[in-house]
Amino acid sequence: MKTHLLLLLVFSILTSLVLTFIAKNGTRERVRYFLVLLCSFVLLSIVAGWLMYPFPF
Amino acid sequence: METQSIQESSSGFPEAGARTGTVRTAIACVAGWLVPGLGHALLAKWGRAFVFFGSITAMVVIGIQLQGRLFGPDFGDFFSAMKFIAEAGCGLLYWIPWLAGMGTGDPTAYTYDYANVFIYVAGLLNMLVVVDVFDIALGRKP
Repeated sequence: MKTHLLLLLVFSILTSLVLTFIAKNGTRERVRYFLVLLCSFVLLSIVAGWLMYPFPF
Repeated sequence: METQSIQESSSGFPEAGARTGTVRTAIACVAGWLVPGLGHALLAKWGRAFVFFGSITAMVVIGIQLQGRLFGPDFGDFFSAMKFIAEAGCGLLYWIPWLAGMGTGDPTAYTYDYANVFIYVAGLLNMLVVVDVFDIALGRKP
C-alpha cells in the first residue's frame, strides 16, 4: 500500500465515486462521468509529475 | 390575495409545512456532517448514502493508517486553521479518532503527505455531500 501509483489510483477511485454520485443521477451518466473523472485524475497527475521532473525542488 | 399572503410564506408553501421542511433539512444536514451518508439515509437516498459513507470512511481510515495527522483546533496561523477546518469536515470520523489520540502523524514517514491529502479531501468531500443533502431536502434535486 505504499507505492505512489497505487495510492494515486485508490485516491482517484474514491474521490471520483463521491463526485459522480453528487453530480449525476442516471446509471449510464454516472458510469461515463466516473470513468472520465478517474482517467482525468490519473493521467493529469502523471503528466504533472513528468512536467515537474526537471525541477530540482 | 391578502389572505393568501398571510397564510403562505414568500416561497408559496404553507408556513407549517415550511417550518417542518426547515427542521427536516437542518437535521439531515447536521446528520450528514456528523456521519457521512447519514443525511442521505434520512432522506431515503440509500444508494448515495452507502457510497458516501463507504468512500469517505475509507479515505479517513487509509489516511490515519498511512501515518497522516489529524490537526487539532489551532487557529494560531492560517494554514493550521485551514487544515483543521478541512479535516473537521469529516464530522465524527475526525472527532472520535482525534479524541482517542489517534492520527498523531509521522512527518518522516514516506506516506505522510499522501495520508494528509486523503484526510483533507475526505473532509472537503463531506462538505459537498452536506450541500447535496441540503439541495435534496429542499427538493432542488431528485
